[in-house]
Amino acid sequence: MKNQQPEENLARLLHAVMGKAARPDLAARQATLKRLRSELRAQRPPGAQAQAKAQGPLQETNGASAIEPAADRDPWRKPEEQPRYRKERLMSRLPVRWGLGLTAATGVALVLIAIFPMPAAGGKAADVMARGARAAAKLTSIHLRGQVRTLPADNFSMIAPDGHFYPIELWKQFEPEVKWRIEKPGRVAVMDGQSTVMLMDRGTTAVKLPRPTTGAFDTEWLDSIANLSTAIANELKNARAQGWKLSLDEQNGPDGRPKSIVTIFAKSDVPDNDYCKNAFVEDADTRRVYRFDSQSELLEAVQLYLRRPSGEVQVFDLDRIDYNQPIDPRVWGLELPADVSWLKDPAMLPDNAKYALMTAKEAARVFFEACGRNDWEEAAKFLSSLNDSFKRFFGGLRLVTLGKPLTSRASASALVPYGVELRPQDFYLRVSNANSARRYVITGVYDERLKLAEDLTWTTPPAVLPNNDLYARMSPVEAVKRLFDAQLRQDWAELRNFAPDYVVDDYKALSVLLKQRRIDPHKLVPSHDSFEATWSPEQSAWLVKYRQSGLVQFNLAIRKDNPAGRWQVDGGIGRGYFAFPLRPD
Amino acid sequence: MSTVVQDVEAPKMDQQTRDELALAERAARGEEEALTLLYEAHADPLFAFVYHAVDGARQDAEEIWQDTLSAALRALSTYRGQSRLFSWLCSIARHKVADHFRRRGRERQNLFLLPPEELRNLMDSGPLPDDVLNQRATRLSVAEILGELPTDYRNALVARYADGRSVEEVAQLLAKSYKAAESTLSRAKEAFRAALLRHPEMNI
Repeated sequence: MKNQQPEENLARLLHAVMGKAARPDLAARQATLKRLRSELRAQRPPGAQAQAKAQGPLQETNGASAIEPAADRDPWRKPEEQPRYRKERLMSRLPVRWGLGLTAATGVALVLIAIFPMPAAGGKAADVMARGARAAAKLTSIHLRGQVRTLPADNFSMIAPDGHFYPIELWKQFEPEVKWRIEKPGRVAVMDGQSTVMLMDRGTTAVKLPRPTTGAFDTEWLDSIANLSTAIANELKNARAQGWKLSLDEQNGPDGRPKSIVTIFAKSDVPDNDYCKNAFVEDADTRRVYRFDSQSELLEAVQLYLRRPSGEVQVFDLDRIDYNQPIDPRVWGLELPADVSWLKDPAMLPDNAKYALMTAKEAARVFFEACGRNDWEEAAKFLSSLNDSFKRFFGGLRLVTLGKPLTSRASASALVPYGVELRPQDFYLRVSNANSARRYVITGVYDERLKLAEDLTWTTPPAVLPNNDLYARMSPVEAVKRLFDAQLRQDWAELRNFAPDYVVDDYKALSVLLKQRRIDPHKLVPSHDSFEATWSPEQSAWLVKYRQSGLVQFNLAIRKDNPAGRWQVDGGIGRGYFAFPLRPD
Repeated sequence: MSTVVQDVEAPKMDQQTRDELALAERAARGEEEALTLLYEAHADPLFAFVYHAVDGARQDAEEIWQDTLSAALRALSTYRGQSRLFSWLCSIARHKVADHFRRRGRERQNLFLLPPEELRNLMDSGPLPDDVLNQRATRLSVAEILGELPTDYRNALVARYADGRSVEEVAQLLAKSYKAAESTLSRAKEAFRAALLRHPEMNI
């Protein structure tokens, strides 16, 4: 080319022809491919079905098609931006289910009703939703407050039906420029109009996307509720396309005003034997209940119930929605610790191919063996955010077992079951009986350097038990021994006598999660000995030292959908899994 | 320039058509992986083609795009490789767009209208005039040309020029090193220009 002009012309031309406006949105892209696949199956000659299955990469592993992940990806997004996959995480049909993005308008919902007429009851419900979308079509801001049953510090879409309700909150500004913030205990993500940053792992680790996003880091499902018109349009579209049942009920709300209650029974297309099934909002069979004010037509509340063979359990409760209220500009700021560790995409290594060619199991083995040798340079090839706390906890471990990896059609992560023997290390529990029941309970966890790892807050003071004397007579060491014994037996009632409810709920949820992932939850528990109590005048409490050691088992989440194509650890290696009553991190 | 173009692209195009034919045959036999690969390669540029054919009416574009893909799937066994697969898809899309306009009672649109011959020279010599850039025929032809490029080339061009991403970001998108991404971009630009020359009626 003779000058710079052709470059500029090329940019203008390509922007005009294949800019974002001229590309299908991800939801449509995925839904269309899914439909084509169904059509292909339907038009296969009978004999060809078995043949096609036998020949192609349609062969399934653990119920997952090997071609699914690539097909569901958005080719215009970098790996970390892919909404398809979550951090232990992974995502996928999310936009199809809940909607995504800011571009769809109320008209979409209305058009959909016209195109896809529903049966009478469903039609009325759809009409209520469409009016709700119209009422919320010109928002300048929205603020959602609710609670979700999850594990603290796990990703934003993880649900733990046996776990504790934790607060979750979203602020979103639509004008003059889009900004958002989503917060739950242990994680906060902020998009300030320029970039998107998430702080996690007890504030020690951060990850940044150097650009604005409409949702990232598994926040999209909640963000899509904020984009009401899109969410509703997609709910209606899916209700029609996938045969979800809609119903409408009229009743008075808590404020005595008439409300329209729309209920949708949504079915995930993730197979029942997939480890993601019912573990993340987008991959769960749910009953969704939307409450609209009949007069203002605005959405007021959303409830989400997980539907399991054993029955329903509420996992999400959005009970406060503020429309068009000014948002404090400080919400868009995020204070990061000076020594925060940044999670980065892996760079290409001189010997990258060696790592790229590993299987998930081989990668797990190399990673664990590197930890065992304290070879942090090698371990960092699999996990970039290694901090001192991690090194102290997992350094010197001995790899004992590695199992067959589990894969998922909803996740890029493989889960590699592992068993490691941790080197013996000391911990301290802060124990106090300064309560009306006069029995020793735990109020804090310290690491071997006597650095506070977590304060355990008793929001309701320890109650006086029917057999309170039995507990009140225990020494600090006896109380701690009893706590670990109850942990080993999974005696939740007994655990609650020593630890706050939320700690017990978290641990119980973790145990249930492990059972789903085919690991005996008893294998979470290391052995404890060498108990010793010391009075701390500064803390006005006893510090009970104990030594922890032994074999523990869990699943290592590991994935390679990154530019270097190397396996990267994505979860399942937090010390909180093994150092009860420290909460999972 | 044309000699270079011949050297760079002509043999590859033949091979691409053969590959596409093989893939289409596999998909026609019911192999979902083949269908997925075809979809990944062609769904987006086909959407762009339809989108411009209906002058940016997004709802209509989405509907026609889906209809086109379904029709193409049903007719896949009739594809013989006489043209590039994407051109074949565009021909189906043209019929669908014409049907759409007919249903709407609008005059049949001429989707074969071609831009003036001077376009190619305009591209090299000065700012591309807006009326040329905005012309539907220009956009349709460029969409068709982009659709025929290898997927990596197209993705690189779109990421770099349509989305304004840095080379580093293109490298991440393509899962390549910086150097490899630079090289891909350079080859993609050459291939794009070569494809323009192979469409003499386009003459950008």
